[in-house]
Amino acid sequence: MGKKRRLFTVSLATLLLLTSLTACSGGNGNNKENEDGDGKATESKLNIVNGKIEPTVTITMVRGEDPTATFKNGETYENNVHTRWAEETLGVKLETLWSSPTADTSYDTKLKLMLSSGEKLPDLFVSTQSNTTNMFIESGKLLDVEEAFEKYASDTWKAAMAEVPEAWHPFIKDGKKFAIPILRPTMGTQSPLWIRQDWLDKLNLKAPTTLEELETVMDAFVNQDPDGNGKKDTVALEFGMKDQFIGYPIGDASWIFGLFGAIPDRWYPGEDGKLEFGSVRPEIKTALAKISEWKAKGYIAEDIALHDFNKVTENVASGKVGMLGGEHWLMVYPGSLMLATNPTAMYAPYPLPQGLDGNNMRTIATPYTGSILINKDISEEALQAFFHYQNALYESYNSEDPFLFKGFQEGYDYLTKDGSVIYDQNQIPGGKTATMKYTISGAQTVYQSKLLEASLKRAKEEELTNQELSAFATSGIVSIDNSNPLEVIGNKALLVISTQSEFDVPEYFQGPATSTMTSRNELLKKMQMDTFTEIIYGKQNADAFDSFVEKWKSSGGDDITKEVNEWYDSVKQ
Amino acid sequence: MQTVIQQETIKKKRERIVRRRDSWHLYLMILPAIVLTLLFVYVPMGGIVMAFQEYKPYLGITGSKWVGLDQFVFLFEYPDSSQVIWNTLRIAVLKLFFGTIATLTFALLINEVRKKWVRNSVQTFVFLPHFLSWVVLGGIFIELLDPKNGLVNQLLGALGFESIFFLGDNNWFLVTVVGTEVWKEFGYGSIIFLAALAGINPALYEAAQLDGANKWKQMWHITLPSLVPTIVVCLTLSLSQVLNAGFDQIFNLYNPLVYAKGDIIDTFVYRIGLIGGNYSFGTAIGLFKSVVGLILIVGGYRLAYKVAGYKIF
Repeated sequence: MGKKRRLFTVSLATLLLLTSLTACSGGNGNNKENEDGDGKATESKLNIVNGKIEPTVTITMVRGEDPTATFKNGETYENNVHTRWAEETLGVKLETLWSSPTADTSYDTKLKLMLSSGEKLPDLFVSTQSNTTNMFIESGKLLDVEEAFEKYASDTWKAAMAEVPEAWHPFIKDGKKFAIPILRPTMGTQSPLWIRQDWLDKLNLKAPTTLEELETVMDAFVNQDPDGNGKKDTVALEFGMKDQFIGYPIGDASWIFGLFGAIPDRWYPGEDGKLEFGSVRPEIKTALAKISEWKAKGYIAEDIALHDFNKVTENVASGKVGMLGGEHWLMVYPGSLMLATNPTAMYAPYPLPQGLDGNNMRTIATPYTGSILINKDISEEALQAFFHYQNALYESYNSEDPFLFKGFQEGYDYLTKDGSVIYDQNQIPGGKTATMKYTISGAQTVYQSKLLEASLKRAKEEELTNQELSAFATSGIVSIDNSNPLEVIGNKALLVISTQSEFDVPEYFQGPATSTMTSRNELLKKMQMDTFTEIIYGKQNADAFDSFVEKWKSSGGDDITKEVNEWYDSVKQ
Repeated sequence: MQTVIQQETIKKKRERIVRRRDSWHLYLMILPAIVLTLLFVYVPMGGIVMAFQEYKPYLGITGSKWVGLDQFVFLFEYPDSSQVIWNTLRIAVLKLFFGTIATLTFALLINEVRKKWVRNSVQTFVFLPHFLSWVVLGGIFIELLDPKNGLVNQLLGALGFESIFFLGDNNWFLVTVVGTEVWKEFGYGSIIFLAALAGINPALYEAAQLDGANKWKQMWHITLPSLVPTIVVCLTLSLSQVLNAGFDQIFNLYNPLVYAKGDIIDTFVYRIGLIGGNYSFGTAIGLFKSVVGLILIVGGYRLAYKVAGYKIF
């Protein structure tokens, strides 16, 4: 009987082994096939006729599905008006191997799987998550893009990149650049002071220009019943602090700390030019003491420690918030939600009041949203074709024709009818769809200074020349459209923000987590959140800050500062 | 005596062999299930190796550096580890204790309801919260428990009590977490007890009634003893979960003010492992939790067998 059992077990095991073997060999077979199909790169110049590559060159890629992208007429990422345009007018065939949603991070997971399974990489793809990008950079499977960029990028694109050299920083390893940053306009990501204009008017107040005036307005906003419901249920100052003190696009707290001269959670140069961690600057102590005082006076919500982005937007929508920081689109969202229940409510953007001792600081976003990663084994043709494609999009900054991309935008982003442009969702057959989401980078091409110039002119409601108007071309805007009053407020906010751009502090540390960070960051962060929160809640006296700083430094903070500066020295030129 | 038993076992063994010879096709039928289980449950366990490595996705399991027990050393040397483990145990045990009591009480009470529609509708209502995600409930509870405008505190205010910051005070946070979890799950948990109640022989109750036992006595002497095996099974199985204090719930409700009692292993792993992309550390903690869970479940099973004399498996 023992034999029987063994026989059974053995046959079972053999069967299993066989299945797994066949599975493995199947995978190997595929890989081999792929490698064979890949021609070895040769130095060659593409044959370009009237801006079109002949014969057509194929670029393979994988795509993250943008949750805000829409499609019509049965189109997909694989095949749509833009990919057809690229193939027909540029001779560049964009072949999407697979696409996966970014919203639930499954795109990110698939990228990591692609890397760990040793699957052949597509020619290029976009990564927006820094730890994914870093994994690819560390893997050594990416092309050092510097040479190709110098050789093939157009002057316009180079000029756009040269404006923001720090955008390259996160992608530099050992002095080599391993990805091409996807730029974004940063103006507008800083906070102005948003104030409920209707409350100001009702209480006959002026927008605050100093810290004292700010306190006066705050006091009135909680004690004089600005919403007129007879209850003391308003919050004068709102911000998010549940799991971070900076980084909430609505409910940003950086400007509040900035009034006292420092920004927590951010690395920026101190007096000696070396990067310092804002959280341990002595100014933070003053800021915390003041915020704690405001909290005690009821200017700030009792449950402020629970406020994150969602909670802040919810409070704004319910019309209980007097003042807050937020990006320039605050009135579009969550402002529009507030208007739905309270049509007379209105936030107006004001310049930040002058801080203590003339100090002011606030955060500004990094100049990139992600990057394009290129496979080390990309063929020379495909590489050149990619630059040809990207240069064509950057041409909008040289063009005098806002309708440059009519070929894929007409009937999608807008409709031209009887000489006028229509953006109305209901008049465009099949609805308005943003075709810039179909491009490789999934966004408009950005040349910050030119885009800003055009945006500011638009905000001032000045006449734009055709060349200036063309700056908006890749985003599907070909004329000035002021039909949405909430977007007009956004433009106004941009204008207000741009007057105080000397206060902007970007994140200077863009490298991968350093070794001490990996082991100590959580501890330090928790210590900081604990101390700051308890000081704000008055459970600890502001002097607790001093012992926090000492502990922070001795528990790894000093080492991290050293490592961060080593990184900074390595990328700074 | 001895020989009789021996003879019987030999006889049984022979029978079993015969049965096996006859039923090879039955074994063939479970083969796919075995293969699938091996393939998708046992093979992936190989990933445990990551806990002993400095895992880098592009190097894979075969290429990553072997670091032995470093990840575990790191876990236990980390200044906050003991606090986090204690918090987890405290919350899990409280949830287990109050959860079982609430579930049991509810099952016993609803079992006494004779009107079928009352019974069904009540059951449906207490059942529903189980299907709501903590992301949704988190938002609702934050709103309800708001120290200023929340419904609960307005009610307390109307009754003349001081307002309580439920989610900002360490002790109240514990109460809230345990209370809301019990509220969410007691309806669902009662199913198994109701099934056990339905299985009790009605003849026992008839006999008790004849002997003049009232409802209370029937419950005490018939219902509860009949439920003991089920309770033991449930508790034993729950023991393996004792290091899971409920990530979804805590993550949506906690904040720096309640780190002292509210921060649990999973939220800690989330901050350190997932945000930091430290896979090996995440695996190490997962393995640690599984091992503790295994020890507890085996221990609990042995104890249940020794003390109460019930065999579960």
